[in-house]
Amino acid sequence: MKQPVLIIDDEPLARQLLRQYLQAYPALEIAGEAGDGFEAYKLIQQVQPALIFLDVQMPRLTGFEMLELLEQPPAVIFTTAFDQYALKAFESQALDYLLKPISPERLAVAVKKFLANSAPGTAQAQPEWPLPEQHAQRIAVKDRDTIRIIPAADILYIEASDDYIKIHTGSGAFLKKGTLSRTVAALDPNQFVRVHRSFLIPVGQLRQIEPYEKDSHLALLHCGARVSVSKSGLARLKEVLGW
Amino acid sequence: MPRLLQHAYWLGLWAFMMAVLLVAACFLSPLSGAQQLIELTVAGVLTLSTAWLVFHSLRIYPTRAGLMPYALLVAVLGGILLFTLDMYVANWLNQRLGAGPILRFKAFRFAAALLFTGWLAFQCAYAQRHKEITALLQQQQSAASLHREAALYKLRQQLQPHFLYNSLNSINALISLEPQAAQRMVVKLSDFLRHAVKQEGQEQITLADELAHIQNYLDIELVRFGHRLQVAVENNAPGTAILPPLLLQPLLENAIKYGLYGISETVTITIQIHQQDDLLLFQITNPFTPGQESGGGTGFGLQGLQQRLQLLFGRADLLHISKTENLFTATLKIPQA
Repeated sequence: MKQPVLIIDDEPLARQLLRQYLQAYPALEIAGEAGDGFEAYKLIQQVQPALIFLDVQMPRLTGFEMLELLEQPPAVIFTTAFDQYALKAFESQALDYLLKPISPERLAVAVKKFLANSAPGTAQAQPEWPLPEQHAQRIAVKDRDTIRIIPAADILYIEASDDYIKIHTGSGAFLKKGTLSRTVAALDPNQFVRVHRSFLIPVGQLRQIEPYEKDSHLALLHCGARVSVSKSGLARLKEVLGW
Repeated sequence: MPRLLQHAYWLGLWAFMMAVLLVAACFLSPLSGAQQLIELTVAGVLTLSTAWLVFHSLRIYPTRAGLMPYALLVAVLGGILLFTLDMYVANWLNQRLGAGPILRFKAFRFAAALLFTGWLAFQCAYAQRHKEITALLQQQQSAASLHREAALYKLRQQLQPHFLYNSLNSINALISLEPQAAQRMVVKLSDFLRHAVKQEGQEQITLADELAHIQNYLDIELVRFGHRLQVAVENNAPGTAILPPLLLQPLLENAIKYGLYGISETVTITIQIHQQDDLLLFQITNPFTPGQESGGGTGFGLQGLQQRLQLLFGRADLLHISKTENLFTATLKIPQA
């Protein structure tokens, strides 16, 4: 059976080159191409590919942002012109990565790796995608069938709930699969403080802090919400605010 | 810790000297034991204070006189001071004890005081010089490394590795698809590189030159992004106007990045150039989708440009960024002096 493959890149010529190279592999079948993260997301839902070739920097939704939205991501081979240094970050998580200009020999190695991995009985664990070097200025979430981009400035607070995080904004709350600690790591630590095991707040949203039971406080936010503040959370908050 | 060691070193030297004096006094001096002890104590305290004085007066010195002449002056003055004080205090103490004034060894004492302060001043001056040279060396080293970094940044800016690799990948695709287009692209890329490398050392180039370079760059980008990218250049300035090289490209790169990466449809970037009094004005406009402008980073390129302008012209008002609902405009002013 042929393995369905998607090529995702915003440069048409880069897609064509891969298409041309992949003709040499009868085990793979190109099931489609996408030019940005949104298109790619839709196409992946439709086609359920076994493997995608993915460029990182793309219009509207970057490669990483798109991957984070997928419940069961396919095997990923990154194709990028980034230098080795930047690549180190995602080397460990992706199946492989190809540096542009892509050489057929290097592609052969990557495809071989995929075919070996996709043999029956070698199910892949869900990889955790690396965080970008810069702090995220936005979060992409699934809102029913569409993808919504939430600018960091629109976030009122973020709440942990089981395997999900709940992002509260002025236009409603959105669920996203993931942990709060990962969200903390992705966002700017000078803007967002984890005040509690289950709460992450933007410092700009803080109106006041009032004592609550022993060793704990309540933070009153501008939006009217009250969230718990733990002892260590208060210490972190004080550090960021310079109290 | 090194400071403590230094103090220990000086104190040790002083203690050694005092010990030598003590031994010498025992063998040479015909004075009584009490008198010897008094004189040695006085000499000890006085030499230590003089040493402190010499040491501190040599930490700062008038540059007009120079370190060594100043050290000599300090040594002579210190020696005279030490001798006079020593005589005065010792005599006074001896008289109180009824032992009579010191009359012997005056010349020897004066010579010893001078030798001591001279030797000390020379040591201090030497240490001071050493410190200065070390500091100077360090300063030079850090300046050199800063310079290297700046040169490396400029080189990277010139060669644009990311752009280069992506272009090569496109050429790779064109070779079998459209061999002639591949050939054209190779020539354009070579021209782009040649121009970028040539900029080394050049401080100002003409607008015509820069526009040709930019056109090369845009042509390559047009091939890479196909029909999605359109660029309209509207030039009303004379080609002889001058500007520093490689200033426009970061702006265009930014416009393409935010224009293309935010929008999937065709994107039109406009470049308007005109001269206003003694300013050459560039206005680069690209569409963007609000809330998505941070998809590909945070305008680091523009920060670097701002810094370069500051270095070149000493002005912070030459680059202006404005955003309307869905248009991003960068305005760059280049003084024509």
